[in-house]
Amino acid sequence: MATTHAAGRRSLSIVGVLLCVVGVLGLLPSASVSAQSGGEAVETTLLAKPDDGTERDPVEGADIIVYEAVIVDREIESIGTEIGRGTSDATGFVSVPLPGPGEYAVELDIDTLPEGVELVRADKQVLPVDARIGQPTRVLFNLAEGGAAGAARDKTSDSLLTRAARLMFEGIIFGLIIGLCAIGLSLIYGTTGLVNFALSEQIVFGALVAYFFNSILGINFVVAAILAFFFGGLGSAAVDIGMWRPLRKRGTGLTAMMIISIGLALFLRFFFLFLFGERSRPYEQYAVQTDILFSIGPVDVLPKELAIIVVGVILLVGTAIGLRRTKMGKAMRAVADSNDLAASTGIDVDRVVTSVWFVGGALVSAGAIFFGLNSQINWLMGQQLLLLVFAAVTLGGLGTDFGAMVGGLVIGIFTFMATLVVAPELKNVGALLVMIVILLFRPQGIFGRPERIG
Amino acid sequence: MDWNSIISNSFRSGISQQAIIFALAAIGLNLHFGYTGLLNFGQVAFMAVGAYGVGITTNTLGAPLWVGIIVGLLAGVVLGILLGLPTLRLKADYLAIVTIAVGEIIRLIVRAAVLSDTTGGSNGINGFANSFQNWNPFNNTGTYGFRLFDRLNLEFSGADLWELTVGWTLVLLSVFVVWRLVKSPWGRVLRSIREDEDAATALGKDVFRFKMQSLILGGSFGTLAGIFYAVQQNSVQPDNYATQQTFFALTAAILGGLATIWGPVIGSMLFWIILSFTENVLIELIDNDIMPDAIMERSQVGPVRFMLVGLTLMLLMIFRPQGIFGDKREIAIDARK
Repeated sequence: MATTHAAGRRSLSIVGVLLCVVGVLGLLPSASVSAQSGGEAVETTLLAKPDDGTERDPVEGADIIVYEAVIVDREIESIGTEIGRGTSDATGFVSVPLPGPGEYAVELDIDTLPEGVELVRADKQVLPVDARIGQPTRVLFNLAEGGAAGAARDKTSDSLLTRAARLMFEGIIFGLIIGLCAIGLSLIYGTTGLVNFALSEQIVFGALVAYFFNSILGINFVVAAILAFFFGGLGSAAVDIGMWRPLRKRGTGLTAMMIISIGLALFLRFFFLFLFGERSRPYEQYAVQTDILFSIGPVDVLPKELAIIVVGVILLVGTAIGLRRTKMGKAMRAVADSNDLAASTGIDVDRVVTSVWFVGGALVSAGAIFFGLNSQINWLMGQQLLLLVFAAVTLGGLGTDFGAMVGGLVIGIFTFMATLVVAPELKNVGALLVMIVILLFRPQGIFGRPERIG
Repeated sequence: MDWNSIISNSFRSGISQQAIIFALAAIGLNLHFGYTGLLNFGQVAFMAVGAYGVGITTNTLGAPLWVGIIVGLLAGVVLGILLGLPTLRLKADYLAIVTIAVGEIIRLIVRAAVLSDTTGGSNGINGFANSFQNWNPFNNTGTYGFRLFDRLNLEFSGADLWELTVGWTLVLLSVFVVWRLVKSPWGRVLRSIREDEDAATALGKDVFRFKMQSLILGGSFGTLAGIFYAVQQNSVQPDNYATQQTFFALTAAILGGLATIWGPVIGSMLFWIILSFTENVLIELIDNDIMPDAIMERSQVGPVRFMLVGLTLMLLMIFRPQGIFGDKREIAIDARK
């Protein structure tokens, strides 16, 4: 009885951990505190790419029209009444004030474009706008003069192969993001047996900490990302020490722990909503990059995309090597094989498990930061990724690091390539179906060992 | 602080249509998890299939409402079979992951714009269940009930009273069915599967068949919840069927007590009483300027009450997994390692 009570008191420190999390994030502005209305507008600078490939020329006298709209997943769902219109000045700049923050659609009136200037992609004539509070929102229309429009169009809107190549590239980036999260989930499952549903909130936590440092404290994004990487690890390790470790000591079953992780996920998810609000926001830096670093065939690579790929691959390969070469890595694998055997060879199992939480949390944060960099940050981003991460881990095999990486890449590429045949809004369905089919025929995954299915 | 309205609103939430929907879904989850040890994290898939079964049959195909209700129930049975076939032979975690994935797949498909001719896309389907109110024996526009001691507001519109009568009748019937079943030999087999699957197999029981029956039956209560939701709202909205609904219903079931007859029902009532009480108190505090805006605004009340749900689920599982009425030895959470 005495031990049960002690364990009970220890698990009270959960509250302590949660308060710590609250402490770190309490510094974020709540959506409402920063709310000052007024100043919302849609802005764009209309520039056309000339034939000779030199600097872009401003387009004067072209009209843009703003409508009310409903936007879902950054696609325009429906368009409502007209809000206003504006005409570009000599520098190509045009700004249309908005009645307040919200969702709008901006149309470029192509009849008002000067002779010879064309919109490169006809399907990008109307763009979605998610106007943020108190600041103008910028949109970009891709314009070109004469022959350049044709050339640019050849690059953007045509052959299946070209589209496939581009989707492949985006899929690889997305796959690395999923792979990082998947390895975080898989490491934790491997050493503790816990299917951690709070992964989705580990993701949001990492992205929000980076947002806090970059967009609120104004620290350079690279520094902010590195800080968030470590805070992600620390946050997860703190939850392990404050909650999971006492629960393990108490002998709480894995199913109970899985449900507790769901409770933790719900609590944190709505706490992040409480702090951050419903709106999606970008990081202060690198949100919009237009300068192409280089092109591989039809694929234009932005600097931030190259950075995500390079850093992502380094992190994944580093983890794989670290697990095999370093002393801690070997200890982690030993604990994953058998808790008791590892303990009897003198390994401090608790310390190893907490380290796994640290490494897992840090890797998940890296994935989250990249995801936020590539699109935007919002309180549901973890939910958007969670099931795809499960799919990746199931595909590769629960508890294997290599499997999680490969599974992540396969799911990422598959999700994007699926849009060649199905509507973009259904792209996740394919990945989830793949997961179910894998479970049907090879439940241990591609790289998993059969005994893991129990 | 207007305590009369806070208490009235909380009480009314406890017997509201929402509580009925949660009670039905939780009765199903209780049969799955409480009695059989099956981890169904996709109860919302059954709800969605029931709701859309009614909506599509009546609205898109133009059939009468009672046909739609039967189609909805059958669709739930089909879903149970499809879910069970690949997963019931595997470890519990896999059923959990597949069911949660199927729930999300269904939501994504019904809200897809490409299928909006059939499912209404993100707008859902509306106005297909008018005949439900045509069957109402009460006066639709009248008011029934009274105010207890001039304080507790127990007045309901005729339409509400009809919905509540039908809903709570369904809940009572479901409780009766579960009670008869779990007291039968069939129920004892379910419990033996929960305690030790291998032992049940060794005694010659076809474990897979019993698990499948439990999944289908428990899912049918979820389907019934979805159908009631759709008919009562006269509308189906895809985003009402997000994955977290299952976890809310699970919280309600655990709160009342798993593997008990009345646990899920009492749990659902309490769940809504607590949610409504928190919401009403916070709103009163904010409106009376007791709570400074710097800490919380009205728009933040919603998130806070769901934070409370998460916290409740965590604390219950840590400190009192048997909930209010449950027996700790009956909870299938520590045996499974």
